[in-house]
Amino acid sequence: MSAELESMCSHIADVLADEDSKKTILDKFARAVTWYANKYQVARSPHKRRKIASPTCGTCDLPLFRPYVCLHCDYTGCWTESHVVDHLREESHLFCADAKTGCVYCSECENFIYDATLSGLHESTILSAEEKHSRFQVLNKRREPFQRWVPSEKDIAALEGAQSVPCQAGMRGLLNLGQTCFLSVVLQSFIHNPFMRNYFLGDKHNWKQCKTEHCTCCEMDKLFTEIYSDDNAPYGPHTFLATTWRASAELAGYAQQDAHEFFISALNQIHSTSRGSTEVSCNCIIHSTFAGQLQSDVKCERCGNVTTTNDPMLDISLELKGRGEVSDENSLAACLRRYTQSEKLGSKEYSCVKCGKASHEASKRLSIRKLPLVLSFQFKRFEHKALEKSATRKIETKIRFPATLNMAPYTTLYMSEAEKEKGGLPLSFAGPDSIYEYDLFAVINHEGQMNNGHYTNFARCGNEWYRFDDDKVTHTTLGACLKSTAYMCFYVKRHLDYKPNMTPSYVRAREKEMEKEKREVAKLKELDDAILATV
Amino acid sequence: MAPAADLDALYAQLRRRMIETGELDRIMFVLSSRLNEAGWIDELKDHSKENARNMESLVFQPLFDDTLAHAHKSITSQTEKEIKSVIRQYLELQFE
Repeated sequence: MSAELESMCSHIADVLADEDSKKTILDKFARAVTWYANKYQVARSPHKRRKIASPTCGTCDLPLFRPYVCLHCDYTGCWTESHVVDHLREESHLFCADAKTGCVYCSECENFIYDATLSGLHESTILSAEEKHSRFQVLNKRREPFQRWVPSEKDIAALEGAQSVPCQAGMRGLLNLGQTCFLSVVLQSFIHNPFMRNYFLGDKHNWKQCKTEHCTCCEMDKLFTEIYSDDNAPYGPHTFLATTWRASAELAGYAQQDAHEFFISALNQIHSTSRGSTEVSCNCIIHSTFAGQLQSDVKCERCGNVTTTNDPMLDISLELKGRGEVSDENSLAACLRRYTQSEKLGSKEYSCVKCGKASHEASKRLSIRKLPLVLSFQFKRFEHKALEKSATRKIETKIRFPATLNMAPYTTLYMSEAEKEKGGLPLSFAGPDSIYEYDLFAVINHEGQMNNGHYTNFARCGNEWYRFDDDKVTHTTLGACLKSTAYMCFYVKRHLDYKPNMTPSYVRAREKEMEKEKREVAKLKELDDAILATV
Repeated sequence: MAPAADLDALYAQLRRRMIETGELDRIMFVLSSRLNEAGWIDELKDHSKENARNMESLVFQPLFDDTLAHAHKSITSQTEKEIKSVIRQYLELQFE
């Protein structure tokens, strides 16, 4: 890493260069951040009803909700009235930190500063606080402690030999091969999907070594090779298109296709050409990235019996409501609320197993039992009228969607907690907030009508947004992306899942077996000794 | 009308109670989820980021002043009303 990235403030660099002052500053910083993280967790669990200590401002004496902590003495203060900044100036102290975000202010620079050491310490402190507070539903286990990746000598050698990827990599337009914008936008959403990118750039499916004919995985591998090559000119995915045509008869030909249909068909093809793919609990790149689980609870209104079924899902299709401008009814959150709302079933759709009779009244409610790593949403913009395929109408309603999405309210766990709390906000459901948070990384838009329309998309690279219109790629802003009329949007989980900290059952089984074996050997020996003694 | 000093003391006392019971955290949770759904958070983030990109020298205070002014201006009256009523409800309980 270059010196510039380590720290942008020479004052903090000087202070951290001295071992003693470094220790004081870092200790103080870690204590402040830990305090806030613990406070936050306690505040979120109403059952504990523990009193939360609140420090007061050293200047105005008001209790602090979001304290700024001087890293040189015991002072805490508020930001808004610039009490903390005045304190630093008066006492000639250099730094204070926001206990909530871990942001550090330098009074010499008169600015917030970045420092790699502080930033790393903030991350690890928050993580260990979260680890302490998250319990699993199963056995009340704590989560497995995070272990940093330590590269082996082999890894280091490999890293040194590796070519670094140019910073603009991944921003290559795709040529339109005759009404193939539906293909371009979906491929761009794959290219900017971090899990698919890591899989294929990690050489997990090498097209030069694969023997499968018409292999979509090989096409993905070729695509990533092209996108991350030095060539910046737009790329024509001819072979991908040809393979798609061979694999799926409905998509063949030069007709305008539906991007969502192609998306689903591409997922299936990548899945089926992955090595070791299976029909149940598959762990191919597609299923480990997109697969979640939906729970459907059907309740008989007569006897209250609930039948629960779980179904796999790869994406979520959402109904639009109303027409015209953005309203509160047409936000992604509102669509998701409707999606997980209890709905009445028709009398013929359900018969209760418990009360035996064909029930008159039953309700069905969906919830998300397992969240996938990548969430893909489709807004149902194309209304198919009657039986005629040509009579499709497009709904142009704008949908408001956020850059960050918290999925907690739509999960099975949260919804059953909410039921217990009777309308109250369940804040005490399992795990820290951060494991429900998702970040937007791609959006697919459709302009025009069903048969003569055009697909474009937005995609995020780091914190920058780009717009893709076939071969044209332009830099844009988050604002422009969020104002667009979305047809599909893709979110990636901010923190990867973790397992409970427990010994796997097969290890325990083996240990038991070994113990049994030992006991048997001892018994045999005893027997042998006994026989020998009698001889 | 109570003297200003009494009001200040009352404010400090209520504020302490809201923080210590975790009530303020709960109100903040509701507020931030409403603001995110209304698109306010993203719009503010975009506004301040594009503003920062165009600043000649990137200094916190002027950026903060502009962001704060924009934040107050762009909040919807509906969200404001809703959160105010949540706070009012809490306060009424305290004075019963």
